[in-house]
Amino acid sequence: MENYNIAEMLDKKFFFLPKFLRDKIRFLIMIELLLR
Amino acid sequence: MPHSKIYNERLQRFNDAVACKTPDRVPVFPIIEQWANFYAGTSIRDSYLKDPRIEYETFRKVYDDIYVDVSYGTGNLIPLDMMDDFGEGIYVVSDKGVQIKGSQGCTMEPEEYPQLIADPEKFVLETIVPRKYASAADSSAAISHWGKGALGLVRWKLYEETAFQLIERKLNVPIVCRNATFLPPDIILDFLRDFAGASSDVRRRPQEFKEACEAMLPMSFRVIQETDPFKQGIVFMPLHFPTYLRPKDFEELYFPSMKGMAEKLLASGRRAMFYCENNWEPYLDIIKDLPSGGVYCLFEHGDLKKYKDTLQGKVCVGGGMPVDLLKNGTREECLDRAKWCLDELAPGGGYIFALDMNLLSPNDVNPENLAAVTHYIHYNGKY
Repeated sequence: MENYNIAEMLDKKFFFLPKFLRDKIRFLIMIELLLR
Repeated sequence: MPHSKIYNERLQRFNDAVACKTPDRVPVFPIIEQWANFYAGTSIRDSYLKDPRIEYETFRKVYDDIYVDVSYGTGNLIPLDMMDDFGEGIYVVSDKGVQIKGSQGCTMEPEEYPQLIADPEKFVLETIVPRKYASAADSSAAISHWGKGALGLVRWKLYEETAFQLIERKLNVPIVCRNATFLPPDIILDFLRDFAGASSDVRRRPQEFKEACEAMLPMSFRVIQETDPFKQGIVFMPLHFPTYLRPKDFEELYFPSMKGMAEKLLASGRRAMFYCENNWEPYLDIIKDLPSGGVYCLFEHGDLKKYKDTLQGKVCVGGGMPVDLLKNGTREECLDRAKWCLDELAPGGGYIFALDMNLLSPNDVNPENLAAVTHYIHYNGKY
């Protein structure tokens, strides 16, 4: 269950967005999920 | 469209105090969250989820009666749609407030410190998030949650910005706490190891705890870089762990994060607001080493006069008005305390009149006392 590659999966899901925006989205969702 | 004269005066008043200068008047900055809805008679749920104009109407009613120079925001701090989708109802918003169901405190084992230290973002993304949220653990379903999560996050940000614009433009009250983060020791305490685990780590794994805090500081700071590109207001950080630490442990294991974050924020043109929970008298000599001119410490308990005298000219001090007194005291007792704040804490500038705690529940304060002291400070707090 753990250690699946979410970053790679998100890159595929949001392939149409620039990389910096994909990184930003991933980081912000991750941090919201951590800090709750 | 430029802001009004009164808006700019209020913001300048706050900015001068945070810079430890002497403003024209003592700024008034109580932190008001869900109490506003109870006072205004509006639904918290509708306010947070239905229409940002309800948030505006809520604070319009509050600010009609309670004087404030600047605002903390609306208390709508959680992207509820996104959390609902991921979190299986960990957060429940109702008209009683935002409540947390169950505990997610301990999500990391002590043996995992090396992974956290090696790459905090990777460890959180790939290990903690799937462990904490069952919906994110199933890789076939997770992608849908992350897609919806992105939309939920954007929707929440736009919703809040709409409410903020209405409050700032129509009520002339600057919202200064638009962004927040946590210091690494508090992330370990609140979200990774829980109280028992973190307390044990401080004693049994101090080196790993320290290295983890150092490794996580860039991640804590990145939260602000990503959410605050325009460097608005002041960055809010609630400090949870310090007063459970011995001063020696605080100095070695916690303070480097506090000072490091303040330095990063100031160097990037931002400012820091630390909400110092509990009594900070044992740590006062240590926090004297915080950088000057852009740090605001709001103190909950302890000798405010001692804080102010020690930090004068270096760190802006806030607080002084106990919520308990506003709830249970007479109007005269409350005004006496407000006068004490002006006499003892305001001289020399670098002071913000504030309550010792956030207002959340309907009976947290007697509204008439709150109105009396905020107006008293505004009219009598002229330098």
